[in-house]
Amino acid sequence: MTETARDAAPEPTTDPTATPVTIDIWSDIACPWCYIGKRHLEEGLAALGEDAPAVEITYHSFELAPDTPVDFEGSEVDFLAHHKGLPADQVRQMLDRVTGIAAQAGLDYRFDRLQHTKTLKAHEALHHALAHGRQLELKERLFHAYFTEGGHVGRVEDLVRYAGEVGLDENEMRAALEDGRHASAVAADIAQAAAYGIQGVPFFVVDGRYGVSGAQPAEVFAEVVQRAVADRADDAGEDGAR
Amino acid sequence: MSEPTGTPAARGALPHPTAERPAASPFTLVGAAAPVCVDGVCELPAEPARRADEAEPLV
Repeated sequence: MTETARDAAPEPTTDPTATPVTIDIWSDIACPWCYIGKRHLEEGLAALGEDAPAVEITYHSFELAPDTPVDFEGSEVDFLAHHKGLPADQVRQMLDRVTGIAAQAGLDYRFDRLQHTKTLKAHEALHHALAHGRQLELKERLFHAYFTEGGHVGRVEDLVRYAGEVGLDENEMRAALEDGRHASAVAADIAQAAAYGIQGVPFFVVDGRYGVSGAQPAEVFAEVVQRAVADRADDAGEDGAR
Repeated sequence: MSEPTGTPAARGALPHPTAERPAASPFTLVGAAAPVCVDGVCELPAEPARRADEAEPLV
């Protein structure tokens, strides 16, 4: 699996795997299904084995709860019960169930530790990481920090530390977050999601052609990637026949 | 230091939606209904089904 910057659409070719299959993902850190969906995607690609084409994965920003304060005080149950008006016992049962589903995907969700926060700066950090070729690493680091470690992903200093842990320059990340140079890119992602009619996350776009909504099973991701490769072969055949 | 090259559409990798006629879904949708988070609310499907109409609110 590779992650490289894209500057233009792939040139037509007779080899359907000459360029990576693109997978664009709209996602938020504070989204339990996004982390589970990430794992399912990885499992689906791994299941293809030697038949797996090179893929180019790019994460895009989607802020689920933009009105969340950076320093929300209280537990996840408190936040959900107050924010959504649900009984605390019902929230606990729901969190227990999603924790069980996450465990089936090999993830250790700890909602008892989770620090709810605004994720806008995390999205800026992910754009900075994309520009420096470390977006997938930072995305995984932030998901794990948020859902498993009880880490804070809303404050600049914490994000700088996570960035350093995945090999990014901490001083550059701090400067980028403080001057907000990636804020317009975050806003553009969010606007583009709205323009595409994307209302929920995770949302995956495979090769600019197929849309996959939600934490689908691994086999769905494997199938759609294979279909994208087959489409390329069909397209190349049609071009060659003209 | 390189900066982001903009949105995928700007880079030519994805379809351009238009402001006048937003693309509700310019993509061919694949897969059955699966859990998503919408507007701060995450859905948990009734087990074991994954149909949207069987989902209940999670958060």
